[in-house]
Amino acid sequence: MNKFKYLFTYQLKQKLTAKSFLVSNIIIFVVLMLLLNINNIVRAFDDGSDGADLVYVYNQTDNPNIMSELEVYEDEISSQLGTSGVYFVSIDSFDPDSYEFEGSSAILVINQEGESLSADLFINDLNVYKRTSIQNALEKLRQDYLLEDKTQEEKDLIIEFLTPMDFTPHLTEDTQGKEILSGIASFVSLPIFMLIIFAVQAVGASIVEEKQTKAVEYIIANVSPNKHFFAKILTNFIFLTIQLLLILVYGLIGGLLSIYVFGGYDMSAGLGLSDTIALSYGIDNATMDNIMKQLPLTVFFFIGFTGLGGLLYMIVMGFVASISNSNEDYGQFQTPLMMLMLGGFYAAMFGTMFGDTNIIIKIMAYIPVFSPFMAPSLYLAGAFNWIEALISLLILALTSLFMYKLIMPMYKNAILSYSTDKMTVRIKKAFSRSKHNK
Amino acid sequence: MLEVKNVRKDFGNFTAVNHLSFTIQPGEIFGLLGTNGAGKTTTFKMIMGLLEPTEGEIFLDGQKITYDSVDEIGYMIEERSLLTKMKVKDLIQHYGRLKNLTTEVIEERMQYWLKRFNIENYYDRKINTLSKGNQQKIQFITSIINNPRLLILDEPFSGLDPLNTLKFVEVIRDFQSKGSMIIFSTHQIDHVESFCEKLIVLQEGEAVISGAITDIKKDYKKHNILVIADDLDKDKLLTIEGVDDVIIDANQWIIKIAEDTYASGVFDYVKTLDNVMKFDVEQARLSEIFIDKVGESYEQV
Repeated sequence: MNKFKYLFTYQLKQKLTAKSFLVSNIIIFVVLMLLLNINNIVRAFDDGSDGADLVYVYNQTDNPNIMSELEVYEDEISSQLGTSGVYFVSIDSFDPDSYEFEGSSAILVINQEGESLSADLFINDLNVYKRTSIQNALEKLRQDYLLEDKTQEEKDLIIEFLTPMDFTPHLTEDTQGKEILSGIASFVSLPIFMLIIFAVQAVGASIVEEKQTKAVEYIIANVSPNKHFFAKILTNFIFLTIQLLLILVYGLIGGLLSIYVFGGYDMSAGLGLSDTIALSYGIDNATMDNIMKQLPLTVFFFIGFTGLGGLLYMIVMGFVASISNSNEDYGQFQTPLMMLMLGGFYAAMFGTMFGDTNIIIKIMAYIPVFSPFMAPSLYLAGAFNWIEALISLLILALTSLFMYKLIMPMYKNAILSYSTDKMTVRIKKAFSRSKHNK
Repeated sequence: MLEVKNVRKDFGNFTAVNHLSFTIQPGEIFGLLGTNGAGKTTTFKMIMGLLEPTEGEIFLDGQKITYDSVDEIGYMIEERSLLTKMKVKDLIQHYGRLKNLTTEVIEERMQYWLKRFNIENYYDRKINTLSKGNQQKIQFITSIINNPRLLILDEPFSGLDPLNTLKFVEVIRDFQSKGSMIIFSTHQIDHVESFCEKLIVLQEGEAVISGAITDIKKDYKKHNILVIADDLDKDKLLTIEGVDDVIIDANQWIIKIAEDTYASGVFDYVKTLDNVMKFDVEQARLSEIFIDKVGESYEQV
């Protein structure tokens, strides 16, 4: 086995068999399962009755049936809102200047002045959804009350007055799909950012450890710096890819569990996977089909930008680690690069969050230090078409190649130098010596 | 044969090694002496290819040393170059694999060397739990695990107690007897004198003494006369022609003379004294030659 192959397999094995890898993957798996099945989990623990709040009702109207009508409406509305609702108990007296809740969440006082109904709600502990459901139920009750003993003409007139203007936004299937995708676009940069940070830290830590312990002198005495550096980069690149694929697999498992196991997927219904996902997440089938069509390119750009972005940053961070004599040095020297990464990450998050994407954000998405975080988000948000995203990816690939060619000759000089000069001086020295040693 | 031909190494305006030449034959032990910063480690790094010479060439058996030939070389670095979070067995395996050895061969040799250095119990221990001396042994084992034809040892005895130093010397002698070429640097000149055939003394990158130790000593004119006798008079001794200095040791007098021909003058004086127990003319010690050539800079080390 040649030494490069040995170094590569050795380092990859070390990473994949590390306890930290196992533990972090267990955590990622569990978190993803919980996130993707949170609705099912909540549903499993919610039988619809435990959370109902007691509300006392003091009825000052002349209608004795108002309680039962109110209950019907409230049940209807709370089931639409998906809340556990309230249940009403009538009380015979109420003094607004001196009252006690006596275990109830609120006290509702319904008043009547002529034909008009009004209500006061004295709240002890009632969340906003339940307040809304009571208010809506009262609104319906008021309508009924107004319509009572009216002629048909009067009823029609009242209904017309009470009915809000009909306003219906009509979205094309494409727009709806894009809206859904742009909703998640701002969050796409987060896993990319985390994975790249994870990979570059691993490269840096590994190089700094070897340099700090001087083990690198033994290693470089036996393996060429080119092989050593490339083995480090390739190991971490493959490791990053494996981690990325594992996360996708975990996501897939979580999704399948959600649909087939917890979501009650009915095989006999003859629904396809996309139909089932659409049903599970309340998206219509046409929109879901549109999203599924965009999915392969989305995944391609996600993997492409994460992989190549990771590669670029690993090459640069590997060099930064090689000019560092200790972890303290490395921590200090990597700060500017970390700031650039953070800049790209925040630009991706906020640049796509509000829908419109300005020209500066679009230009930034072509710059290789920012593009790994920004371009996939912009593509998902619809600010980049696939050609623009592909151009950005190509620029990133060419820059990674250029940086590798530039840094490689400097690496040998940097990794064997224990200069204590400033960072810029160390870089200059490594550069001039690399030209001298060619 | 290792040939270092007229090698120079500059770092900017600073010349670390200046036109250095020497050869080492199979079965030879070669000492590289010098003060801190004299250029010893730079020379080793150039032999290993870690540094490119500014001028000159280095050959192993007539071929330039490349990554194809490093598997035949053992290199022990001055400062410990161990990945301290690793276990002994894993580190030796890792370093052995970098010498293109198979895991089976490494395992077999590792067991042998751990036992020979009495550290077989540390096989499964992490490096950072070992004492400095034992870490030094592990480092030495990693440099000889490939049974090197050329063994480069940069300060191999630093931090070792006399017993372990002796053990290292035994192993180095074994490699010598098998025909390996050994080059080492040290501050402890006694070691050089006891088991080196040839040496170079570097000062500020330049060779100030070089050649076979016997020749160096022979060429060095100054001699010492060791005397034990009653009523020795220092002032009287210093008036004798050719006497440079007189040192009163714990149990004898050391009279330093400029050449061995002046010994008769000293003998004429000593034979007039009572109870003459010892009169011994000997060559100057290597450390004296070293100090004489390198001067104050060595004494500051």
